[in-house]
Amino acid sequence: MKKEINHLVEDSLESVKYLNRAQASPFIYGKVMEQLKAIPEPALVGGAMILRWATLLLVLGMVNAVTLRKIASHTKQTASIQQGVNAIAQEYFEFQQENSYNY
Amino acid sequence: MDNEAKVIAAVKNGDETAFKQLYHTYADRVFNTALSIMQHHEEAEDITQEVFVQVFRSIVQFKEESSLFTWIYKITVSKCADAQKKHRSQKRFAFITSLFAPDDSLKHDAPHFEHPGMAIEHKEHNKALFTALKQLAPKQQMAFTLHKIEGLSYQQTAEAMNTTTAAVESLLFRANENLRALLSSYYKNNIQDSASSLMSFLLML
Repeated sequence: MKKEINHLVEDSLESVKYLNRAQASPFIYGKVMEQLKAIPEPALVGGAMILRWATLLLVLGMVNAVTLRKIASHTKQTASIQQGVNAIAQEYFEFQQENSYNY
Repeated sequence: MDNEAKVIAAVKNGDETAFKQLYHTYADRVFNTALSIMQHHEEAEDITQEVFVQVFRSIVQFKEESSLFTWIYKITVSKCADAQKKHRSQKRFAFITSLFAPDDSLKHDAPHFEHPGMAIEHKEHNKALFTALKQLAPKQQMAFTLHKIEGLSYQQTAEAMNTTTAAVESLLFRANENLRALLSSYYKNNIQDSASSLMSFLLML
C-alpha cells in the first residue's frame, strides 16, 4: 500500500507539468479601463495626501505651541511660588533671631 | 530600443493602445497565478483587474531596473498576499461566528476548486495537488506556484517575491516536503475510505 501511495504522490506532483495556463476573461480589460476612468488620477490622490499631511503638521504645530505656552506659564508660576516660600523663610529666620533665648 | 521599452514608454505617456498590448501580453499569466494561489475564479479576476490598474498607475515610477515581466509578477504576488491576509481574517471571524451558530461554518468554506487548465487524464492528481497546495504556508504556496506552475526561474521567483534565490530554494524544498506529506495522508485516507465502503457493501450483501 505504501508503494502505491508513493506512486500516487509522485504522479500528483508531476501532474503540474500537464497543467495548461488558465485564460483571463475578455471582460477584465473593459473593467480595468472602467476603473481607471472612474477613480481619480494619481496626481489628485497625491494632492489629497499632501493636504492630509499639511493638516496633520498644522495640528501638531498648534499642539506644540499650546504646550510650550503652558510650560512657560507654569515656570512663571513656579518662580512666584518660590519667591513666596523664600519670603516666608526669610520672615521666619528674622522672627527666630528676634525671639532667640540665650540660656 | 526594443519593443518592450517602446511599449513601456508609450504607456508612461498614457497611450491606451500600448496599455492594451501590455495587458494582452500578461493578462493570462497574471490571472493564472492569481487563480492558482487563490483557487477562486472571481477573486482571481478581481486581482487581475487590480494588478493592471496598478500597472497603469505606477508605470511612471517603474525604473526598468528589473524586467517588466518580473515587475508585473511582483505586483500580482503582493495583491495575492493582501487577499490571502483578508481571507485569513475572514476565516478567523467565521470561526468566531461558528462558535455561536455551528451550522454557519459551511457557508464560509470555499467550494471545491478545479483549475480550468487541468488535462482530463490528470484531473484527479491535479485536484489532489491543489487541495494540498492550499494547505501550505502562503510563501511556500507562492514560490511553488511561480516556479512550478508559471515556470519562472529561481531568480525571477526571488525578484517577484522580493527575496533571495537561496530563500526561494529553501521555500521550494519545504513546499515539496510538505506537499508529499499532505498528499500521502490524502491518498491514505482515500484508500481507507474506499476500502471501508467496499467492506460495508460486501457486508450488506
